[in-house]
Order: sequence, then structure tokens, then C-alpha cells
Amino acid sequence: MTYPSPPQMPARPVAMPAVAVSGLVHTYGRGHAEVHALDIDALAVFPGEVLLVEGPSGSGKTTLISVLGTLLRPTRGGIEIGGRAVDFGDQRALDRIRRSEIGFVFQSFSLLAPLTATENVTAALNAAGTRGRAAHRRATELLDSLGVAHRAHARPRDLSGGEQQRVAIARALANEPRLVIADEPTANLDTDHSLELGHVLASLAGRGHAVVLATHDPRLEPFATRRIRLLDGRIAAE
Amino acid sequence: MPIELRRSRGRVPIGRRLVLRSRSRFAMAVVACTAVIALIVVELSVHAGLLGATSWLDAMGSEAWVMVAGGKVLSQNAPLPDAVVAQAREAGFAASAAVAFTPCEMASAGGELQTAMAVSWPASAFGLDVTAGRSPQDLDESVIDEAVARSMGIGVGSGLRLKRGSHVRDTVVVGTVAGTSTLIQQWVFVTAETGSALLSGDPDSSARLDASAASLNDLETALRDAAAKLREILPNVGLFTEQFERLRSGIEQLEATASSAADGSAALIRLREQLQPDKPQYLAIRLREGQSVSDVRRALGGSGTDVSVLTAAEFREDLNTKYFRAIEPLVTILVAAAVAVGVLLLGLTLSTQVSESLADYAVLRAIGYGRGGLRRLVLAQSCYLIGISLVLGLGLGIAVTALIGELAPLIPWRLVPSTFAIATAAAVVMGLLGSLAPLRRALRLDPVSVMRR
Repeated sequence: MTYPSPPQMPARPVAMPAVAVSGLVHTYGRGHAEVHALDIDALAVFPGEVLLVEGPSGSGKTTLISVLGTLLRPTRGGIEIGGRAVDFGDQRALDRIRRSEIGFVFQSFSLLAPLTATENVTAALNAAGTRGRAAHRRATELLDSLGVAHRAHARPRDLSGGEQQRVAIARALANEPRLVIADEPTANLDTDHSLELGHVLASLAGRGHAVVLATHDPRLEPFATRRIRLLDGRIAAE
Repeated sequence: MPIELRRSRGRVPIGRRLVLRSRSRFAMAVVACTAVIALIVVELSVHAGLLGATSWLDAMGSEAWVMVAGGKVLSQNAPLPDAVVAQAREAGFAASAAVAFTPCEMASAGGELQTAMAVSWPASAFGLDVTAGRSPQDLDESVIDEAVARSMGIGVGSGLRLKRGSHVRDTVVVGTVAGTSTLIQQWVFVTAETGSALLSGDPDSSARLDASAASLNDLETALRDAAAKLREILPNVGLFTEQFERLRSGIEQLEATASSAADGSAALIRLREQLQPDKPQYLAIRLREGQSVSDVRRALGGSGTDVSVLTAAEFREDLNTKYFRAIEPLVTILVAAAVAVGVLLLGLTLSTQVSESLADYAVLRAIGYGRGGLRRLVLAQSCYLIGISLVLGLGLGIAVTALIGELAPLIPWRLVPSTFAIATAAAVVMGLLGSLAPLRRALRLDPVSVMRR
């Protein structure tokens, strides 16, 4: 597998990519209705990088991050996370990867409404096997580090958009993932909160996480260390 | 903080939070499942009460029960022949023998007659204590169940008329007991003398002969055979012979007057209905030390077809089969129907909950909750709902059963461990089956849907 050269970055702690794909093809439908949603020869994201994936609607951004997040099995091609090939036929392995290797920040944050902020983070820790006081302590630390510890017992409906965003990031980081995937994370945020999110994502990269950011929000561009533009499922520019 | 401590001990209770998302729906489901479980408890308690009507057998301490007739030769209207009783008393195996029960009717002053059973044994023989007054000691004294007394509006000191055929004994209620009332028959405890007096002097109290037969000729043949067998088994069967002769003459009259075979058959059916075949009469025997039921069988002619000797266990099963086991299929159907309703209610509640929370399940799948995790989550909701319903249902069931017992004292009920075990098992079945459809829905969810919201 060959990877394109990474751009100049402030620091690249290790040479092994956090996630890499090769010969990646994904199609929806069959026969005449077949749509090539994704066709990428090679792509790698290294720890310390913030890869910004941009492109118009329908360009394949969501499909790409779904595949990178192991939520979607590609029609063809392979994907490696932390140097290990992902077996999409092994559901347990996929669950394990999503629990420990990948953190998601969804478009509308997708916090679990019946749970408090702390519980939302703890739920992710529980999934990975961390329970009890250890999970609670870790969740509290994360919320504290993101400045929302004072809202620990609030439920999502009582949190502002910015607070929800930070709780969602705390949940994504709960299990110290190798890769953080964010899908249009500023769709519901004002400029201040969008910029704040950019800083948080950049700081994650600074701590050695690889960040893949799918967005068409230009306010986040300054925080990216690398950008790719998708068009009709292909990398049109890098 | 207690809440924090509870949280810190394990996982976040996501299932509980999800199922409580709509509290009104949760409450409705709990109410419905509680009612289902309570219904099961009531059904089983009443059924246990009916079956418990034979529990006195243990307290009675009689190992052998002699069943005369069994529906084939003698009718129940016939009291147990004195000869059988005498033979049992005189036999070397019997410590004591007495007619245990005499079917009769009873009524308070001015009240209506109702079916009763005169019991010629002291209540203490059945493990029962007299709750008010005392035990009967003299002729024409009686003791009845306090619930029956309440329903008849009488008490200690009241008059109670016992009637068997044309023979009537006016007794005085000298005490009450508890726990003997049944739907079928009420017990009246009397002395052996009163029991005998109730039987004697009744012109119809002699044993009658009856037989299953397809025609009058067959009947006559059957009656002759029966009489021969009785003479063989019991030496003093003059009574039977006499009765047989009377019956035969009745049959001959029928034959003479019947204008057709159809008339004759119809008259025979009426005659047989009057004789009430198929109802046995019992004699309880306490064995002397060293004797066994098989000794009784040998001595009383266990090989005969008209007198059967049963062990206490066989007797219990015989009674239960005749009266109570017959309703077991009905009880089973009722319990199964209740469980089916519970499964439906629980399934609908959880399915609705899962449908409304698909986005949350997708998020959970995306952050690494596997199929096992989701399974636990749905089952946790089911357990939470059914657990609360079970506790409330058991309590409500007990309360309703007790209330029924209070309002309708003649309906027997009994709380036994198996009732709770079956109700709990039914709740578990409801929980598991009710979870299947929502679980399937949750497991079929594609986690990528979280990206497409």
C-alpha cells in the first residue's frame, strides 16, 4: 500500500498512519441504478494530522467517513487502522475497533437524550469495559478539560449547542481513540462556537490523535493540516 | 451523593433511562402487566384452594379408604352398608373404622336447603381447631365453618336442620371451624351418633343397586351379577338383595307399562338419574400397627369390582381427579391467555420505545455497543418493567384473592409457593417473549444511519 506524502505538519509523532485506505470503492444500488459514491486509490491520515474533507453535497464525504469509521463496509478495497487491516466480516472486531480506536463527533452531536452529560461520556467508557468509579472519574476529567464540568448533570436538552458539542467531543475522546471522526460538527453552531471547536480539534491533533473532519464550513479550514476535496466520490484536489 | 455512588458501581443504566423516556407509557405498561400477573395469582390461588380441599387427608391419618360403588353397582344415595363398616371394625387390621362422610342437606331456620356433607369425625382429626364454641359432644350437636355460618346468617347457638331423604335431624350449632368451606359442598361436623341417626330410620337409606346397561334385559342381568358379587364379598347382603328385588319389580313394571322400547329406555334413564350412579361412598380406616393397605384389600375383597380399597394418596388423587383436576386445563388456558396478553402488551410497549429511540440505538452501535450490548439493553428494559410489575402484581394478586375470600367466603383460596413460582415464571416468559420483536428491530438497525440523520 502506498500513501501520498503527508503535508507539512507541525509534528508527526509516528510514521504509521492512524487510518489508511487503498483501492477504496463504494457503490450504492445495482445495475442501472448503481451509483459510484466513492472511488479513492489511496489515502492515509497520520497521528497529529487534521484532515479536512470538503466537497459539495453528494460528493462522498459522508460515505468516506462512514467507511473510515467502519460503519459502512466498502464495496471494494481495504482499510487499515493502526496498521491492522479491518475485517468487515467480523462484527465483533468492528465493534471493538469503534469502541477503542475511533471517536465520533456527529453532525447534530447525537447525545443520548435520557442521559446526563456525564452519563453520555460514561456510556462510551462502559462500552469499552471501563466501569464504576474509574469510568465516572474519567468522564468527569474529560468534561472538566473541555470546560463543561459544571454541566455534568444536565441533560442534552438543557445544554446549549456549544455545551452539547463539547460533551460530544468528550464522549468521542473517552477511550483515547487513535482516530477522531467529525461529520459536519459546526452545522448547528455559531461562529464563536465553530472557532472554539476548531481549536479543540487542533489541540487533539497536537496530542497525537488523527482527526478527520468532513465539512464544507470554511471557518474550519485554518485548523486543518491537510485538505482534500471530493468530487463525485474521487479526490479532486489535495 | 447516593445517586453518584450507585452510578459509580457499574454501568450507566441506559436501558432504564430509555424505557422511562415516556413515563406515561411506562406506567400504562406496568399497570397492564401488573393486572396480568395479579390475575395469574388469583387463578392459581383459587385453584390451589380447590386442590387443598383434600389436604385434610394428611391430618386424618387414615391409611386406607374403602370406596363402595365407584359408580358401577351401588349409588351414592346409598349410605355405606352397615355390613361393610361392621366388617371393617371387626377385622383384625382396623384400629377404627367409621363412615367418614354422609351426603345430606342443611338449612338454617327458615333458610333454603343447601348441599352439605355430615362428617362423623371430630374437626381435630383434620387438623382443624374450633374457632368459636366447642366440638359436638352429644346427639344433634353440630359444628360448621365460620364462613358458611356467616353466609347463612347463623352462629353458635343457632339451629341447623340436617336432612337426608325423608329423615330430618334438628341440630344446634355448638361451634365453628375455619377453612373447610368449598364451592361444592359444606361440611357439618357431627358426632358419630348423629351421623348414624341421620342415616337410620330413613326408608331410603338402604343401599340401592344400579348398573350400567344398554337395555332392560342387560340391566337385570347386570343387577343379578352385581348382587352375586356382593354376596360373595360381603356376607350380610340381605339388604342388597331386598333392594335388588324391589328394583327388579320396578323394572318389570316398567316393562309392562312401557308402550315402546323408547319409552322403556327413557324411563330407565330417569330411574338411573334418580339413583345417581357414579358417586362413591367412602369409609375411612385407621390401621392397626403392623397392618398395611394390602391387608385391607385382601380382607374386604379387593378383587371384587364393587368395593375398592384405596390408599390415602390414591384417594386424594381420586377426589382431585373427580372434582378439581377437571378444571386444570381451564386454569392452564387462562394462565396462558394472561401470559399471551402480557407478551403482547410488553412487546408493543418496548417496540414503540425502540422505534422512538432508533437514533439513540444507532449512536450506541456507532460508539461500539455490539449486538450483545443492545441485547442487554433491551432485556434490561424488559426486566425493569416486568420486575416492577411482578412485585406489584404479586401484591395485588394476594390482595384481590383475599378480598374475594372475604366477599365470597365459599370460594376457597390458598397461597402456596408454587403460585409465586408459576407467576414469576410467567413474568419471565412474558419478559423474554415480549422482548423478541423489539430486540429484532434494534439488532437490524444499521449503525451508518446515524451519519444520515
